[in-house]
Amino acid sequence: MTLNTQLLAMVLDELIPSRPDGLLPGAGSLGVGAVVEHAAGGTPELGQLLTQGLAALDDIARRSGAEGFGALSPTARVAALRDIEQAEPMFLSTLLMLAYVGYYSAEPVVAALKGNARPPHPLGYDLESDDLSLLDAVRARGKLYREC
Amino acid sequence: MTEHTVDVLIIGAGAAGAAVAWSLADTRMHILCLEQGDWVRADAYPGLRANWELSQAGDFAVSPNTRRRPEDYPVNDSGSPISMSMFNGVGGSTVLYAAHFPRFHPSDFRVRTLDGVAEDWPIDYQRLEPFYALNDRMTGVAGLAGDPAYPPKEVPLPPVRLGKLGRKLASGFNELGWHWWPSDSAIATVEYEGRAPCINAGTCLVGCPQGAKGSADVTYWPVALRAGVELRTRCRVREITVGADGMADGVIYYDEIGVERRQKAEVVVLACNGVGTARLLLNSRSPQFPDGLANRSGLVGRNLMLHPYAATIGIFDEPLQGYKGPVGCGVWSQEFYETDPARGFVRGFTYEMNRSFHPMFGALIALPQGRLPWGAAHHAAFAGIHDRTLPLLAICEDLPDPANRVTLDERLTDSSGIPAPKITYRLSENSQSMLDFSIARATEVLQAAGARDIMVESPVKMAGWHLMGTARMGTDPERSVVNEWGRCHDVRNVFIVDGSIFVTAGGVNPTSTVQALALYIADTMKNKLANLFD
Repeated sequence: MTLNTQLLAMVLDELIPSRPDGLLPGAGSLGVGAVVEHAAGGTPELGQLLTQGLAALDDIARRSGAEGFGALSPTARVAALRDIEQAEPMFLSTLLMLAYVGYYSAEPVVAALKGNARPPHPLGYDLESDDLSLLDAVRARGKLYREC
Repeated sequence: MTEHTVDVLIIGAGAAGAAVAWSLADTRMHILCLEQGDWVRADAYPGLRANWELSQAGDFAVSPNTRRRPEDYPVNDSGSPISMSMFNGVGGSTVLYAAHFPRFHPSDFRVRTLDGVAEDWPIDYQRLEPFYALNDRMTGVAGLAGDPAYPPKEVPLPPVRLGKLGRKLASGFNELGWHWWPSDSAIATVEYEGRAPCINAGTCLVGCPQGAKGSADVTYWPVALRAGVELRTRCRVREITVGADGMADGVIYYDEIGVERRQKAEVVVLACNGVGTARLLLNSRSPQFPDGLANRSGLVGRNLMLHPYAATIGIFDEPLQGYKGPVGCGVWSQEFYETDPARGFVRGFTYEMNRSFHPMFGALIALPQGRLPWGAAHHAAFAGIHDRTLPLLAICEDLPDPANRVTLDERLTDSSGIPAPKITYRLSENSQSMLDFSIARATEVLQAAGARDIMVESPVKMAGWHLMGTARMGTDPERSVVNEWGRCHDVRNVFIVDGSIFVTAGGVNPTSTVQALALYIADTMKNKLANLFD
């Protein structure tokens, strides 16, 4: 079962649009569709849920007279997604979860949020030393455990 | 060809198997460990990649049902509100654990006497204390001596740093006058026994390429192997076999290319933890043991305990730099650890600070909370939570209930055709009351620390890390599976050294106690070698 890649990308761009400051593209433009397709390919039930959900979304668009989701105005796209969210909540919540997984693990997004694109290892991060006099009040209370 | 009989066959190379292998090595016996997974190479860890979080949803997921590596077995946990988490490989689940390393308290071994629930353990804190201390040294535990929630103990390494996040939480505890302390953590905060120090990368839950985290593959195994222990990886044991005398005589397993093999042994040691050990015993049926090996009591698989978790997550106005530091280690509180009848439940829990969620995990936590909408408002909402979360986890003591159990699934199998475990588990009223109480108090402390908003997940779905109680220890063969030093009542050359022998769960992470027990049992075995089966 193959997902409609073009439709999927359009939907993803509506779910996570480009950031208002222009520093990050929307999820579809970023290529998050590949993460969704990979997940769908690994589990037949998931693939079926997403394929049918996307088809149902396209049907909603066609019933409004458009030639499909891609032909809708931006406002109508959002309305169609609200409709499918009501009609097929499992589809949209699953797609959202996969979209968030793909988007927020993507290197450009992580780099934009952290200010750099380097992985956590091998450089790591510095943590300043602590003033453990914060514990004075705890020490003053005495033992908490039960003798037995 | 005559098959070689090993002296001791250990099944499972995780926290317990590693410790027992290392301890028994000085007997110079032929010790063989069979492990169904493999070594994880340091350069395979996701933390070396910028998109490392994606692995948490894939090949380094905590759930074997998500990870689906060839060495994993599926778990039917649809009958539980808490999903099972584990890792199959050298080091076992310590490869992916947070390295939070608290000991049990003296009261944890006396719950029947003190609180009138469950059973007392057949051993006590004092019996285990030398093995806790030995394990702390072997693992390289960081912390701060003097915690008033524990009897006096030494801590080998300086504590993990609190960071801005930890100091903020500490200020909340101080405001309310509640206990808190830097966590005991299996983290090398300075160079230790050839291991490089922690660099605060925060990727502990997908493994530590630095080697600073005290997973059993970098603590016990290198020493055990140098001492002569043989470790065969990618070898999956199907069943333990018994001879006509009712004693175990070895195992049948599948090797790395799937060929069925037999390995004879004088002694078999199980170290597959609370789900894997019960599964293997139940799958080891014979005319002498039609209900599974060592199961004449009918208790194998029963009394599964999981530690229900409540996550209360404070959202703060300012960035907390919470991505820095070991993710599960920093600050704990045991203000509510000991029983207070006025709270409406018996026993208690530990609060553990988690560092702020990284971007992907933070988004996934906020999504079902309705805090991260799709569409035009998405980015502003994300900016309001990113690096502004302070999760406070309550790890609640789970009391044993025979109805909570591991059985064999009738249809689901692993890739070798071995029946998968099936989990039947429900939260008790006591656990639910404890969870609710913990959320209310956590909300108070987070607000005292300055949180502007609170999110809650309870019980945490993916928190079935601690698998305990399914082959519990005791002196009465009718009411327990192993005796007070880990030997099966029914089969005197089979020992169990993992979390399945826990009588009760405590309100802390179990790995420190799992390994202390394994060392204690190994030490007892060595002291009784001349009459081990009497």
